[in-house]
Amino acid sequence: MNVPLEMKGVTQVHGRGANEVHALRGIDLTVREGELVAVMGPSGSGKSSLLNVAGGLDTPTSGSVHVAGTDIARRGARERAAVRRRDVGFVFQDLNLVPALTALENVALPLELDGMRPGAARGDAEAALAEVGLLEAADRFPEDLSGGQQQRVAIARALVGPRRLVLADEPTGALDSVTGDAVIRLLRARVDAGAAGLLVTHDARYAAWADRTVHLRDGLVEGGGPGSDGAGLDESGELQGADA
Amino acid sequence: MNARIPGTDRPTAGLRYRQVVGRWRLALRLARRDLRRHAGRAVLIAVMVALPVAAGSFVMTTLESNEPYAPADTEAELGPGLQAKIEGIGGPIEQFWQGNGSLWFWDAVGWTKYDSVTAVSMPYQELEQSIERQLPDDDQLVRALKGTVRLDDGEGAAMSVAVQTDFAEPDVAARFPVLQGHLPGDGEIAVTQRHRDLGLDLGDTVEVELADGTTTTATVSGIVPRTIDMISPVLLPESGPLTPPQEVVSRGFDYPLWYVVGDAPVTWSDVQDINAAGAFVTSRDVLLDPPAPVNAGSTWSGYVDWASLSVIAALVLVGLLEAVWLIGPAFAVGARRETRSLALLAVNGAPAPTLRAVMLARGLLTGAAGSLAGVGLGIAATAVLAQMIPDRLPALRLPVGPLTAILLVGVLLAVVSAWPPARRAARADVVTVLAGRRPEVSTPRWPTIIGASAAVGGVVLAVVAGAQHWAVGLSAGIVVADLGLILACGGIVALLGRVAHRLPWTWRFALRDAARYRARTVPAVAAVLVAMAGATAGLTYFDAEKVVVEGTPYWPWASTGTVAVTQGYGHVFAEDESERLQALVDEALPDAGPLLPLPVAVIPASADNSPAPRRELLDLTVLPVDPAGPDVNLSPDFNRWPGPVVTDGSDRQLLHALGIPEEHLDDVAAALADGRLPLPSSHVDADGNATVTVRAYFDDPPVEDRVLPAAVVGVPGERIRNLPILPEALLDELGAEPALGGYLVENPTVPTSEQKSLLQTRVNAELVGFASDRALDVRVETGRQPGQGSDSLLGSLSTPWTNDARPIIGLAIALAAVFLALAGTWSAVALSAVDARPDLATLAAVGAAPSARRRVVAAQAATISVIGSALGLVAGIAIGIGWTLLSRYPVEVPWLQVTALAVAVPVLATVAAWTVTRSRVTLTRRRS
Repeated sequence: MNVPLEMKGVTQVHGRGANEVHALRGIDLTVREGELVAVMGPSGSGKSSLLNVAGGLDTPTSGSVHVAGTDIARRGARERAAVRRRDVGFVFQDLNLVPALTALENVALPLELDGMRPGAARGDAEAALAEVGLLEAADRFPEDLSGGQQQRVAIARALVGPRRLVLADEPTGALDSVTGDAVIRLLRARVDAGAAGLLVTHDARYAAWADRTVHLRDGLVEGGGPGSDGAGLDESGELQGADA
Repeated sequence: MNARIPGTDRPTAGLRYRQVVGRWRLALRLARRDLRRHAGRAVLIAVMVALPVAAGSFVMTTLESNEPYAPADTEAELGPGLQAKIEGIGGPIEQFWQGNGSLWFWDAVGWTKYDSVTAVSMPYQELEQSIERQLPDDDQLVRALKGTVRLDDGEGAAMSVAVQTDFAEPDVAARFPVLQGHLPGDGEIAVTQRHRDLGLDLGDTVEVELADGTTTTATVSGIVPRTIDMISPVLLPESGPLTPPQEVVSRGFDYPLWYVVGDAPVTWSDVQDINAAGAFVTSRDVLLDPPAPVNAGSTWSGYVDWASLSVIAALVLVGLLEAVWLIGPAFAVGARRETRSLALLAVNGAPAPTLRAVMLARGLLTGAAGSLAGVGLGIAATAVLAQMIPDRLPALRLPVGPLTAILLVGVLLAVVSAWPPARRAARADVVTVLAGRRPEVSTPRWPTIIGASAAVGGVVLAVVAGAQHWAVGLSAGIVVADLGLILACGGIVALLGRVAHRLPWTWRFALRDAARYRARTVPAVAAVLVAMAGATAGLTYFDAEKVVVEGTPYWPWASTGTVAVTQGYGHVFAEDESERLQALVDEALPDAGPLLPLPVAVIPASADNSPAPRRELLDLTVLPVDPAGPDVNLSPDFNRWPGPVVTDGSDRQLLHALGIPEEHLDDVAAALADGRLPLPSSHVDADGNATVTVRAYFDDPPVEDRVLPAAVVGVPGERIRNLPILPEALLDELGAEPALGGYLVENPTVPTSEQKSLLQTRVNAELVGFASDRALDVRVETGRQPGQGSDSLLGSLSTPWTNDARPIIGLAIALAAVFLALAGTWSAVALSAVDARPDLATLAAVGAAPSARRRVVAAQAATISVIGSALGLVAGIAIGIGWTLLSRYPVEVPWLQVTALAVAVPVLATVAAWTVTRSRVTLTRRRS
């Protein structure tokens, strides 16, 4: 069985010469099925870069990024797009949904793009929406949904069909605490059901829902040099279940 | 289901197909909803697509409906029920169902092969029986006789073609719809609207005179419309008075006619059999289902005017480009607003082709809607026109092929306009967009280099091709120069952005903004550029033409308003008809002066008893004293009269009518009385003589130079149209004699076309009658008039316009340019306002005055319009010079007008942008 996400020696450098910026410096990170990993760190520490590289939105300067067994660091844009359709789902802070598509169509989007027949895609999307408790909102447009509902639809889309890895970038950032808690609880539940999750957050309270937390600073995993996946922080798992 | 190729991660063909289908399904769904959400923008784009499509559809539908012989005109020619119309030629012919080049010609009966019609004849009865034998069994022949009749209602008379047939036959009757009254029965006739204009009306009793002199009286029973094949016929009942001819003769005028009624179609095979029998057939079946061309060697290709086509192609191409530049920014606005949605699609695995498809689908839908509306609009416009001029457009016919092509071009127009934003959207960096940052702009240099080279090359080609009178080269040069300039626009804008550092901050902001967002700036600059180039080229050309037209002297052949009645070319009057003609003139021109017989000098010939004897003409050419000088030979105007006018000078009224200027009248009269040729000084030598070449006009030489006494009546170089006038005293010396060449009538004003038409009709009815070998022309000297049309489009494009129309055309060009330039500028400025919103907010935050926003928007409008105007001005002048040279006109650039235009467009664009921004109407609406 392939590991959902395995990053090894990932570096990312932007610019050249005097403008050179090292966003990531030799990151090793593995996220297994049923595991939710939180990534914390100050602004500019490389959290979003890590997420973008993990999801194939960006390519690393060096290192490997295996998603469900495929090294997307060595693949072209078209193949990375295919990986995003089948293996990876993103959840952002806000404006996650395509406004011109209904909730159901938003969830079915990666399946339809991958060539699944509309009826089958719709069936899978309904199942995913049912799992997040929003089947009744299937035909509503995003503008008719609350912020929390939109994030739940985004989580459903991130894990629709064969997708088993969700990359969440501050998914609670635009929500009040009650709604935010509900979204994190849902994410946790989806991971417990077999998915894998990488959660970028500023909020330790939400990080506590993760199986372990990785702290980034200046592109490095804090507490470990290049090549570290924060294994030394595995003890942070003791925070697990603090609220659970 | 395994949708991957075993052992690889590559999709199977089936999966790839489903992915493509899924991509376009999604794209069209998103496009449909986007258009609904942003209906205003969608309607704007659709209208911009619809307008050129409507224009094209209107032109094509009108041309198709105007086609004289085509399937849908069958009803106009054969009514709803006739199977065919047959016209007896008198000998075997080969006909083609439609015209096809010079081997085929259109005569009184239709398209026939020229060399098939020889002077043959056959008995009428025999021909009729032969035709009957060739008809399908279920059809019958209905005889229709044609002839010329003279109608006289006691107050006036008119000559007309008449058709006599059996109107009791329903299909024949249906062929002649009646506007008013009913089809003729015994003792009745039906006439056309044209006859009513001449004074005949329902219920009038008229005398019908036939060519053999027999007369009968009839009552006007009905008014019928003009017909497609006989123009203005008089309809006579089957009972008479026309009788069948004994012989049917080819090359005649009044071919006998038959209609075919019945159920069986007259096939192409039948037509060929009837051709062999000696008749021409217009068959419903053949018109509706044409046979394959019978002569593949004769095609239209030999008649294609490539020069005209190249000009049309260049104009259409540049026009379509202009539309693309105008529509493009509207799509760019949509793409900009949808940036995050597109990025979200990419996040969920949409590859670049899907993102492009999303934007192209918007072009596809708006283009389809706009094109359909445009085609409908064009057809509707033609339908309205057909109501206004039913004679020219008897039946509305839809050219399905061309309309489909135009529709597709409209869709393509919108898709091409959506392509640049689609391409940019697909290439946008997803991470940058999701982070809320502005995408970086790549600036390749090759378009600027290639564009500048093409622009220079195109301009040079246009000017050189113009100088070499090579229309195709000029057209190619125009297109290449326009495309090159547009390609180079981005580099030019970037260059200006780099040199903006010394300018005030608003201008600096505008220039750098324009340079940074070239994707929206360049189409706008291109739109202004093309509009300005077109306008400047047009103004340059028309100004040069104006110089030519105004510099060309106009030589009247008589005083303004004078009417001439003359015979055909080279014919003189056998007898004095002034008394009869005077009565007709009095009727048509009540204010006219007396009829003036026009004596001309001819060479005596043997007696000729025809009513219009043709004499050997006296061709008399006066040579200038200085053969190398600028003055040309003076000759009589054989196009007007059959020889030099001859008089002793005593008839001052005749000299005046001939258009001799008042200041020369006394001198001319005195010279003629003295037996001298009245001439300008350039043609009279120091001894008071002129050298005159004398020859017989129709004969070969001998040519003889004679020295004749002359008198100076004008200054050197002065041209008086009707000189030389021959003094009577010189007739004997030249061996000539006077003859009656025609008549002149001076009218105080230029007669109206109705007056001229009435006089011509009366002259035909009273003086020409049934004499088929005689014609009398009524002509009017109107003074300087608009140039006549030419036989090619290029010719008509370069046909001089009238002085009256010129300012209107110039104004129309200028207004169109201003409209297009402003539309292009404002669309880009509106888009820029969307992009600059964060910057303007920042400016406000750091303390910029409330007017800063207006100043920035105005500066952006100025930037686009100034760059576009300046480039367009340069390109337009060069193209205008090429066009002018092509027409062999002297180059004359209207600096005042083009400068005014180049200043007016930026000023208007800037002021309007300033005003609209303050009022927050257009720009704020676009931003919502």
